[in-house]
Amino acid sequence: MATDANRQSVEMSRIVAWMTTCFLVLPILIVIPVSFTPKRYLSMPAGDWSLRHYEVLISGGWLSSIGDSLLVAICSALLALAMGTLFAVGHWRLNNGVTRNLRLLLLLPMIVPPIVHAVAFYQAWSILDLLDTYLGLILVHTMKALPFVVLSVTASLVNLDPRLEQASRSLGASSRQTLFYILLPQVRPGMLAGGIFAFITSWDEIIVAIFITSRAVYTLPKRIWDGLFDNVDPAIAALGTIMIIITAIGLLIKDRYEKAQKT
Amino acid sequence: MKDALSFESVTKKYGEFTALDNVSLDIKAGEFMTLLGPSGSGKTTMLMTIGGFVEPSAGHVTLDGQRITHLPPENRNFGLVFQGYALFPHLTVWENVFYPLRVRGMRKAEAEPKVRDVLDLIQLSHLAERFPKQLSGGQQQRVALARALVFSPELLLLDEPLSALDRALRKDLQRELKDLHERVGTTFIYVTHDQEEALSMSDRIAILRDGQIEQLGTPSQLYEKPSSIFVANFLGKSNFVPVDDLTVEGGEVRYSVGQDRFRLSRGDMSIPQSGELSLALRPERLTLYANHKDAPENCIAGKVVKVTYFGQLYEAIVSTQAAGDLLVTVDLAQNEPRIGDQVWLGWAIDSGVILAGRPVESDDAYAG
Ligand SMILES: Nc1ncnc2c1ncn2[C@@H]1O[C@H](COP(=O)(O)OP(=O)(O)OP(=O)(O)O)[C@@H](O)[C@H]1O
Ligand SMILES: [Mg+2]
Repeated sequence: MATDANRQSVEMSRIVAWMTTCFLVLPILIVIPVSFTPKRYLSMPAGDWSLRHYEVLISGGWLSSIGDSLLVAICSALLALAMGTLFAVGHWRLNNGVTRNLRLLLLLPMIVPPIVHAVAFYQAWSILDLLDTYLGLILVHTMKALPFVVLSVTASLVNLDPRLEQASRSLGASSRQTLFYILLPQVRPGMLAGGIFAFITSWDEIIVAIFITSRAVYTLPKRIWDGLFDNVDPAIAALGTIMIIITAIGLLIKDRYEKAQKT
Repeated sequence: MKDALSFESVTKKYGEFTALDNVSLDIKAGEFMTLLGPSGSGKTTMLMTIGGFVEPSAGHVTLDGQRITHLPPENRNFGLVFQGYALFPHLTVWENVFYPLRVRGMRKAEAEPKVRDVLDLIQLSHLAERFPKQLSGGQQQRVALARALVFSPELLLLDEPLSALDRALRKDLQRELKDLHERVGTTFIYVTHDQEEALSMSDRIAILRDGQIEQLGTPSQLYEKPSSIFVANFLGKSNFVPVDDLTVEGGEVRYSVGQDRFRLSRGDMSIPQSGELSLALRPERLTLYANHKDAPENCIAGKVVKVTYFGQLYEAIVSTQAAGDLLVTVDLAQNEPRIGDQVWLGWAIDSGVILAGRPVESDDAYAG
């Protein structure tokens, strides 16, 4: 029977999907129990739970690193979002040779190997005296995040009827009013996705951070990296757990938002 | 009436391609002007030039004598209804209609009565809170109209506003649009490629062909006195009979079809005298007669070869020796034509137009 075969194939694909999900997610979830170990090294708690590694996070340098990372990630995400969105809208509007070439140039940070980037920025920033400054790191992260914003905003512009812009202007709206009242609301999903990508890009960027920052700016990934040399601290697992929870909340919010948009 | 809008020798080139070729046109204030033509003839280009979205390569557009050729669209105060409506999907009906007032700095409370009024005008007040995708095609069309009217534009530009709708709805909305035009008194510039729509709604029609205005006039002028085979073919159906030996004597024209001579009262027609000529005869100007003695002076013998029933009338094809196959409409009051009938086809001496050229069997035929 066709319907039986159909049902079977649906079942099969469901099983495969779940197995893939487990394969992707389970290793990550390991950090949750590990973060509650009372021991001083990474281990599974054997019936005895403790929050000591969470306490360490609050004290010590962790908190200031979280602050640094948040600051850099938020600033570079906002910068990338503003520049990337405006660029994508401009490219959508003009779509000429100049903007097409500029677009390729903007996407370059995704293609260039991070280590090459890191060396280049080290050289450039030492000339410009931007080494180990917030501005220096924010600028680099903005550049690395730009392609994600440009790509996701461009994607949501693809389905946008170009006549909406003409309609808006024929109704008396200036270019700026058209941008804020018509175009940006239409590309909000793309901006949201691009902004989240931009934030994450900066949040877990380490290679450039290792090259161009030392003590004044000390982001979380760099502190984790440095911590791994001393001893394998379960505080990292605690940190991982918190980050998983934050990410899950973020995804839930995005999901809710998209559902609300659909109805 | 004064001219509201004028085209002064406007040319628009896209690279080598000429989309508008030296077009001049005066549109009167309050007029319902239709731009009609086949696909690619430049209708949208012309409308967008008026709207300010297409900049002419040469020539000028003037409004009340002022040149507006380079004025940006947002400063023109023209309402524009796009093909496919272009409603803002993230705004409700109310917000869509409010938009032109909002960008002019009006606050919601201030705008409320105006928005209500136009929504009442198009009878959609009860749907004000809906989003565009929750509306039917006809309702969306009306919202687009309301949005283009709410700020009392000096001109309303409409680009095939009804082409996405089915036939019955289109008829209703044609009537509503015409009503609306009479009530608001705004100049309407209307683009369509539907000839029936153009004939029934317009004060004047400009027929476009390859970026030029082929003929300009009232619907009946264009229909009764087309100036070219293209126009005769494009507006309605027409028979084209090759004629020779044309002579003009005062108010009378004589011409031959095959061996027979016919008469045509000239009226104010200009008659082309050289080259190949054709007589354009509308099917409804031809009448079927069973006997020669009943038929008028201009008549020709033939045999019915095909009959099609259309509800309100018949269309018959009559095969003649001298003039080939001719299309005739027969209304239901007359006897039903039958295939094989030997008949006489007659037409009055003021029927038909003499046009230069011979029809080519081209894709222009029966377009629209
Ligand atoms: N941006 C453009 N670049 C190049 N050619 C164009 C452009 N816009 C229009 N054209 C050409 O100009 C001609 C006229 O186009 P226009 O859109 O005015 O036609 P139209 O009469 O509105 O036809 P339709 O009934 O199909 O809408 C077409 O041949 C079209 O290909
Ligand atoms: Mg068009």
